[in-house]
Amino acid sequence: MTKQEQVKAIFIEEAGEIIEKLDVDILRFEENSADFDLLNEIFRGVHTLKGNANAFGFTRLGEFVHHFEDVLDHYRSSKEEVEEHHLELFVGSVDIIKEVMTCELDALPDLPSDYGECLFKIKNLISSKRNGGVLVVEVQSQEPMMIDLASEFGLNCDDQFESDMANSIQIHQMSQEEGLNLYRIDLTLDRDAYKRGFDHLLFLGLLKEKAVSLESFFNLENIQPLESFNSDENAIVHAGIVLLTPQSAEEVSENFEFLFDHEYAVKTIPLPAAEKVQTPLVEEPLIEMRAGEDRRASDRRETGSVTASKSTIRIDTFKLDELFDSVGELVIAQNFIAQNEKISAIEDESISRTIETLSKITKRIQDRVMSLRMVAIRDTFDKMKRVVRDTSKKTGKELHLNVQGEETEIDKTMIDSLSDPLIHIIRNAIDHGLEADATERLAAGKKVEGNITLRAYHKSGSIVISVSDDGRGINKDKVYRKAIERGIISGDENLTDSQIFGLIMQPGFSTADAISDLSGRGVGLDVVKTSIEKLRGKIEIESKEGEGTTFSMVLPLTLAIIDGMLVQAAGEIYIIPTLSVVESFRPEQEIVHALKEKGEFVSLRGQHLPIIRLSDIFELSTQRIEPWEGILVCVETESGRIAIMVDELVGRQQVVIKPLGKSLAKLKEISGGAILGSGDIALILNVDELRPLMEATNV
Amino acid sequence: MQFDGDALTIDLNMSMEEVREFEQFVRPRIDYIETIEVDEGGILKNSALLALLVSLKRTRPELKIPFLERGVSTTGMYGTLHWICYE
Repeated sequence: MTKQEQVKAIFIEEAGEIIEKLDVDILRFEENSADFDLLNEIFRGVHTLKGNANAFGFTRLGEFVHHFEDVLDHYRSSKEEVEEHHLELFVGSVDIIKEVMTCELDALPDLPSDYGECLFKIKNLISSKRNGGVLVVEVQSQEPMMIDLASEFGLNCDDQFESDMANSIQIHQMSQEEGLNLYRIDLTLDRDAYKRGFDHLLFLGLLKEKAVSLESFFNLENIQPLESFNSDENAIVHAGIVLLTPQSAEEVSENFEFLFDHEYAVKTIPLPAAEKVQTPLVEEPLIEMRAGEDRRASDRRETGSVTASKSTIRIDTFKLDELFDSVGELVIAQNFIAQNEKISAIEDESISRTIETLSKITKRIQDRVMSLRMVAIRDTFDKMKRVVRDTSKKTGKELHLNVQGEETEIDKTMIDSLSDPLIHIIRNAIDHGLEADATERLAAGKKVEGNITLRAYHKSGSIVISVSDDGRGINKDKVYRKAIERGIISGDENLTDSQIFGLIMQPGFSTADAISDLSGRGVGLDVVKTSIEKLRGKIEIESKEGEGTTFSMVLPLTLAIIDGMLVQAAGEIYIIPTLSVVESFRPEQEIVHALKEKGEFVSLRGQHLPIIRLSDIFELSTQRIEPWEGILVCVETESGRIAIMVDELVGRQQVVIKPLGKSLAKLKEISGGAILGSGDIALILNVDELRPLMEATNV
Repeated sequence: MQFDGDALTIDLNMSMEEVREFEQFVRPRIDYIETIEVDEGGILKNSALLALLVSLKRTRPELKIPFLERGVSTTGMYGTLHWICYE
């Protein structure tokens, strides 16, 4: 990837983040349109997007955003409350921005169908605001460019200047190589500069001699018509220069040594090697060489606060994965040392202490690297607010969204794959879960406004993300009948409630009487199920007719590491996820029972747990021992508790999950592999899949 | 500098003295000029010409100055030069 492509990729990523944030902020603003701090935040996002879009030649996006920015600027400057019907236009505008961005990225010639209409409304809105509330229908101009410029004139010329400068700085920062220095130079020449023999272009010419790159911006806002103009006098009050050169700051400053101090300022921009500045206005990292009067200090302070609130470093996820893999290797090496018999045999306290310290440090590094992958689910939930809003409007159902556990952290890899399933479940909950209309809700003794609850929480070492509605609940009989009709079940099965509800996740299943564009097409929930299963998660459905339904997505904490209990069976080492383990024990002979065609059971505090022999599951040839001669590990599975019979407990350790090859991937009883400290490979058991196999082998 | 009907064509590489002359020339004639074209190939020698063109546009907004509307000029002598002038 060339430098330019890298810069563009960063822009695309950043623009995506800005648009995502806009999407969320605009909804928050819709809820509280008197929040001018939020409006300012939205304005800044739009402003940054405009500058970046234009810098990369995305002119169609730039133009739309430019006019939208005008509207936002009017409201934030005038502190006028946004009228309710215009809020809808704001929300719609963000939609258009998203779509135009896609058009720009895919280089599509056609713009979204609503583009023209939305832009027209925006232009008319700003036009009416400038004409004291009188709506002026815009007529196609012979000089559209001048109209565009006119709309900008007097409103944010300085902003435009600063924005252009900042964009240039940002682009140069990212293109900078070792040995080159980046400077921002501000020229504020006096009116008599020409008479003294100085001209802006003279300095540009001098700087260009040693420059690798030179870009300048002339702010011509204050130039007067001829009656007040004299070409003998400098009328350009401010010119900004971005200079990339091998020269030192002193050498650069020498070019201006005959100017007055207040006529120029050279600022060195230090280059963060890995850090990418989050906003184009990069005032904070500047080191000032000579301070002139800063006429835009207030603007900079405003922007600075945004920069400060985002003190983050952007790291390529590929690098993060590499780091993670390296830490995985470190953990394996550390385990090797800790478990090495020869090392253990050395009776030296200092060595033991060092190994112990190494172990602690390794664990700490592992935890910290692990935490780098974890992000709060807040952003995903924020996006869902928009889904709820739009679905509510589309279905005409009044509803209230409750969000709980936004701070719950989840593996970044999973976050990316969660949005689509979550969107589908939410739409499903509103479209089908909630009652069709207010009358139906009132008749059921409920408030007109439906409730959708989005919740994230930890449960038994997993993360649960649930979507609940207080609607009519799932009609179990209807689902059962439909499943027979569709041939999904034969009708002979004795299904639990949970299994019946699970039928709605089967491909081709839909109980919807009418197909809507939201859901009910018989596709979707099965895709949701598949998506969640790919994340090593599962979906649980609870429902009570007349009271509501809860879809819970149960996901592993991370996709990369598990805390495992190492056990040995038939000479092989297996790993049982510690979070599933309830207890381990050697049973007394009298509590072990064998039932014909049902297998072996152990009675534990009044509960009969099926005994699973790993040697049976994996068809290992071994000397068969009785359960009371081995050890039983009681584990919690989605079908209830089971007792896994092993020969011995080896220990407990954190293991990095390694994917298995294609041949082993088909074995449902195994969820992955791990390299042990000894260098041996151990298989990680998927305990949820152990019971069915045991039942199958005993039938 | 060439005056053809209502279109004026100028060179960019005017000296400061030539800019002054241009200003003197155009002041009494501004109402008769529809377009100011710039000869291709020239390079700005001073910022006063840029400022004068903007002033002309401010004086008579219907005056067409395509060079000004371009907003950017890239040369080996000055790098990339942008100007921000709103009408």
